[in-house]
Amino acid sequence: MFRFLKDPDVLASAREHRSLLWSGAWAVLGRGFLPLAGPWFLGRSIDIVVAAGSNHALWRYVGWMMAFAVFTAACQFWMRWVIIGWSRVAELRTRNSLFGHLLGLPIPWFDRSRTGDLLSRLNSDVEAVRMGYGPGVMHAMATGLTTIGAVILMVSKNPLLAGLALLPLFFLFFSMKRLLPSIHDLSTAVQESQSTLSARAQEAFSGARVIKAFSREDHENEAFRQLSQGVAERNVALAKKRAVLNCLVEGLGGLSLLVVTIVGGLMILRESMTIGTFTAFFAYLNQLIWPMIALGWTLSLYQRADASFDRLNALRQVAPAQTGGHAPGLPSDGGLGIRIRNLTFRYPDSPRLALSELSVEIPRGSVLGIVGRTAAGKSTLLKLLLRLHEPAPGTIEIEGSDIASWSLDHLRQQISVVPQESFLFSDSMAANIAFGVDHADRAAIEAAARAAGLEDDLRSFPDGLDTVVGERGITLSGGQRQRVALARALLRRSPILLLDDALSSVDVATERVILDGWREHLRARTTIIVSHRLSSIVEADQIIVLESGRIIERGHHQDLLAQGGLYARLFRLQQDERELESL
Amino acid sequence: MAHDPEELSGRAFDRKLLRRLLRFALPYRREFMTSTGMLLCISAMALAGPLLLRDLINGVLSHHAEAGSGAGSGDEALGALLFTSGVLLVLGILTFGLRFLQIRLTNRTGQRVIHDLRTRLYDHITKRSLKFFDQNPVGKLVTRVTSDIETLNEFFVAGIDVLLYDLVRIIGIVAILFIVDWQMALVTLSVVPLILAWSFVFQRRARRLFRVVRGEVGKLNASLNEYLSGVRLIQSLRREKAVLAKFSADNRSLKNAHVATVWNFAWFFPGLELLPALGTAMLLVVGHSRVREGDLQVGDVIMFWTYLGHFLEPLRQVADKYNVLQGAVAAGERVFRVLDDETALPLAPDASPVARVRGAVSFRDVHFAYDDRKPVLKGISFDMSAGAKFALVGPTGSGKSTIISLLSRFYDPTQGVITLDGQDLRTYELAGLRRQIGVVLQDVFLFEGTVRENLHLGRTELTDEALLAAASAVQALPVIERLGGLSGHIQERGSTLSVGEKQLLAFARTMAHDPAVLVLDEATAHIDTATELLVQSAIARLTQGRTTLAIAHRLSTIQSSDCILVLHHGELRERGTHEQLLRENGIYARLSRLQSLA
Ligand SMILES: Nc1ncnc2c1ncn2[C@@H]1O[C@H](COP(=O)(O)OP(=O)(O)OP(=O)(O)O)[C@@H](O)[C@H]1O
Ligand SMILES: Nc1ncnc2c1ncn2[C@@H]1O[C@H](COP(=O)(O)OP(=O)(O)OP(=O)(O)O)[C@@H](O)[C@H]1O
Ligand SMILES: [Mg+2]
Repeated sequence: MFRFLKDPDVLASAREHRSLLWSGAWAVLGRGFLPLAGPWFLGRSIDIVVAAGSNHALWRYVGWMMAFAVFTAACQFWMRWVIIGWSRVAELRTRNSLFGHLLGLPIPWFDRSRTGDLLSRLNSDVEAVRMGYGPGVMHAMATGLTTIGAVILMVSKNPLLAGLALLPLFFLFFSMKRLLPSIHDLSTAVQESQSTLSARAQEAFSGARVIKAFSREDHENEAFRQLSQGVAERNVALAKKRAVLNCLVEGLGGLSLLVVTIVGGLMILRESMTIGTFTAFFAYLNQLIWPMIALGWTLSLYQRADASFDRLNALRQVAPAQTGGHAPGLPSDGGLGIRIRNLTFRYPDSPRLALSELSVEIPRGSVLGIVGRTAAGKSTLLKLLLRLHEPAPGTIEIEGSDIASWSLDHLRQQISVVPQESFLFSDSMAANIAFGVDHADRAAIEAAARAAGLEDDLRSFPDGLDTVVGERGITLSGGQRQRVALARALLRRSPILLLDDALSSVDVATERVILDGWREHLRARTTIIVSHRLSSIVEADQIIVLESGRIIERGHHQDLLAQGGLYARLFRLQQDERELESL
Repeated sequence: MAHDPEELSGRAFDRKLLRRLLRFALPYRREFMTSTGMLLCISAMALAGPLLLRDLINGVLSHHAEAGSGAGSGDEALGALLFTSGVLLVLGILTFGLRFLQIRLTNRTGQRVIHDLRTRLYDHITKRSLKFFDQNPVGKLVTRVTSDIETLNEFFVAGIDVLLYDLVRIIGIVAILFIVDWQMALVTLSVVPLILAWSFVFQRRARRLFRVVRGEVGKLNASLNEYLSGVRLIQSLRREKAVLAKFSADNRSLKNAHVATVWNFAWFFPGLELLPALGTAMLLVVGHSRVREGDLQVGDVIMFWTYLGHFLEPLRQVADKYNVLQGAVAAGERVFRVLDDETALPLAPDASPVARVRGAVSFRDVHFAYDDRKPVLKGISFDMSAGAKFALVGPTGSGKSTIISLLSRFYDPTQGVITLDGQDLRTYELAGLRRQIGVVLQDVFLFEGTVRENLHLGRTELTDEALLAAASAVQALPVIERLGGLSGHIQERGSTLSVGEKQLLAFARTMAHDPAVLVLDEATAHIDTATELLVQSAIARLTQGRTTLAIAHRLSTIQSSDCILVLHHGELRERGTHEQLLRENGIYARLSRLQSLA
């Protein structure tokens, strides 16, 4: 238990707000001890009532009672405001730091995780941990102090009666030992089932189009129903354990009251106790009962916090991608030369090589075209250049320096990529185009949009560049999305440009306009173009043809045609109409 | 966006909302009643305690204390003491058992209601039309079915019956107090108006603040979902810092919303704590003077004090619960907002169930706009006879995918009709219609799960042989083999596959479902031409007599179509076979020339 208190972000935040929290701690002390005065004054007052004493004496006690109550309330106010308020601040910090950590995790890890699960961790697990160190600790401390105070006062008033009254509470400790672990396990199970549920929903909503296209709504709902059922069952199981805990606490508390009634009654009969003391005892015990009930609540809160903390820690333990390294000086314009030597790569858990012994030299300012069958390893090569997956040291060099030793910042600053699947954020077109840079003025954004052939489309949007697109660019056509991604890459003006099938959803006419407009542009950089449509790469300075991770052909367009291999065949297939035309 | 769920209406909504929430509890009214019954028993027993105690003190102890220890009365007193204790013990044991049963019952019932509500909501969401999904971020919808629903849990598990229980306890105590001594009862009750006023003030603010919180949670999740989905891009462009800064800003506004509620409650609770002290003070003062006058006994004062506790506690609980309920209500509002969303396609009441169609499709003067300000399709008309192979080409953004979306009835045209076998699409039963029309979408989407699940998508009547046959036709067998067969695992969105591989699997999925009309939206855009050729010849065999509509930018893909439709800015400009169009020397011929400009 209490593992969650070691949450590094919470500790850091606590340190930062140290003095405030100290004031909160004083308030907790006040909130813990001040209420104990109540029963004492009550006992005195009752004795006065019994003895039919003077009004004046009674007023004094009542006045004190009120004064203490006001103090208590003030302490309670400050305690809540400071501690719970702080817990929200600490929560902010935890969530930020977790998200920051997530952003730096290696892509292979993301390949195997589920977005919905991560959503659930950053939401409900972070919240559960906060419940532990915020309200959980606060209530535990306040009620703990009251308990201690009440016990001391009871013992000082009448040790025998106090001892007997507290006896049943000892049973509590033994039963806790058995109950708590199972509450912990069930809490974990609940969190996990909620995670699965969230992941399922996340996927179904993202893939709504597919579900509709195949009219699988009912099937999907049934699958979800079962998951939801699972969540409900686990919650019920957990609630049952908690009920046992609660009832035990309440029951044993009742037993204590009973003991006081019997023994206290006997003592009054023997005249060894006044009715006032008896009442005060009752009041003290009542003050104990509430902490006991709260104890059950806080204990299950802690279990849940621990379970969630473990889940967050599992995330924290994933090692972030290596980002450090040096930043070698590079020529300022004209692109960068890339040399790939004997590059062999295998994805984790994959039996086959995605790339094997690939060597190619790309001089500064030249264009490399990559062609190849599906799954030949083209995108893999680009991912390795970006170090989204790590290539073996010494296999990829830029300007003669091994990129494995570069800092990621430096490396990725040199490269702009248009990924095969374009990803847009639900933001304005302008913001999407400017996403890759820190600052961009409107003119630059417009120029990039023009270079990407977006001008006509923008004119057709009533809001032009300020048109807000849906998630993933859902409200744009496929080709529009691709060209926004292209404009985004162009705006970065980095010396290396990677295009992964970046014009596949664009018609040939538009493609031609874009490519023609670029010719000058491209000279200033080193460009790698992967494409299934050969018209995009016929003009490349060098073309390689990949098959199952190997280079099977290389050369200029004309050389390759002359070789009569895969390239020539692909070309002929795409050129069929020319033959028809010449008929 | 036009549709803004953030902005929620005021009070009239509340009572209606509460009623709607309760309606979900209606099927379990027996359980709720049982549990309330149990709570009544428990509270009756709890009420008996102070009465017994009073009798003990008044009748025996104080008497005894006054009279001095006479032996006879001592035995009598002892007997009474033991009797009272015995009764208290029995009551305690009964309470213990009942309480356990009751907690278990409410939780089980509450969870059932929540489960019903959650599945209802999910069902409702998945049945919205695509327009709804265009407008609502995924993260926000996920928040609705997860954290908002969990917040509602509070309402059903700790809400309704505890509220009833507390109310009943309060009424019971008030009754007893008045029966015993109305003057003292009035004194005891004088704090009630204060509590009510205090709660009223805070409850209104709490509601407002909780609304803000729920809204912020939804927003935060929406951006979180986007950033996590786009993490590859973010890392490639090294935008981690910028993204983190934006996320922090969202996160901070959520924190601020939370802190505002903390401030609210920090004032509320201490105020509630003051009231018992005030009540006790008044009791003592009034009680004292009346005991001195002799018309009240000490035991009565103690009893009133005990009842004051018993009475304030539930009252405080109610006030407290009422505030917690504000959170649930705020969540409920958002949930019902979604449940009230009627973005669905109008379904014909007498929709004809769909048998196998022949597949003649025609568009008659179809107009369409996603957004009123920007027409996308302007008067599209064409006819495809059953079994015809048509192709759609045209510049990007000209509306090709939109035509396909209309044919699958993802949206309805704003004007004009689309017919299938001569019958308006809108008169077909929706699910049946879509089963007849197989689309390979431009954006591939695969689910986390096995290859098999991804291919049959829950239509388990499709045998493995059928799945493999479809896969082999579209050249997806090597992909499936690489994944380890039909039981191989696919990650979320197929993240460990090449894009071409994903496209082949999506293609196989559509073929496996054996549609009457096959619609291909750049289904082979990411596939090399050699593989594509194999796919095409196999498809040609498989689609004998099947109507096909294909979109492609690589013209080689569609040359052999019976008819090529050329779309430009939402209008059909040319139509005819490849040769005819080349001769026409229009848009198509230009595209074709460009492609062969090597
Ligand atoms: N869900 C949507 N909401 C609003 N506008 C949309 C939506 N989908 C597409 N559009 C707009 O409608 C127009 C036509 O888009 P559509 O996807 O039909 O083009 P397309 O011809 O398929 O283009 P491409 O070849 O690039 O895929 C575009 O301007 C696009 O921005
Ligand atoms: N993240 C990954 N984890 C494991 N295997 C992967 C991963 N990404 C790709 N692969 C596998 O590596 C092989 C090469 O994939 P790659 O994406 O490089 O192909 P590609 O040549 O770009 O193909 P396409 O033309 O379809 O885009 C494929 O068999 C693919 O399944
Ligand atoms: Mg690829």
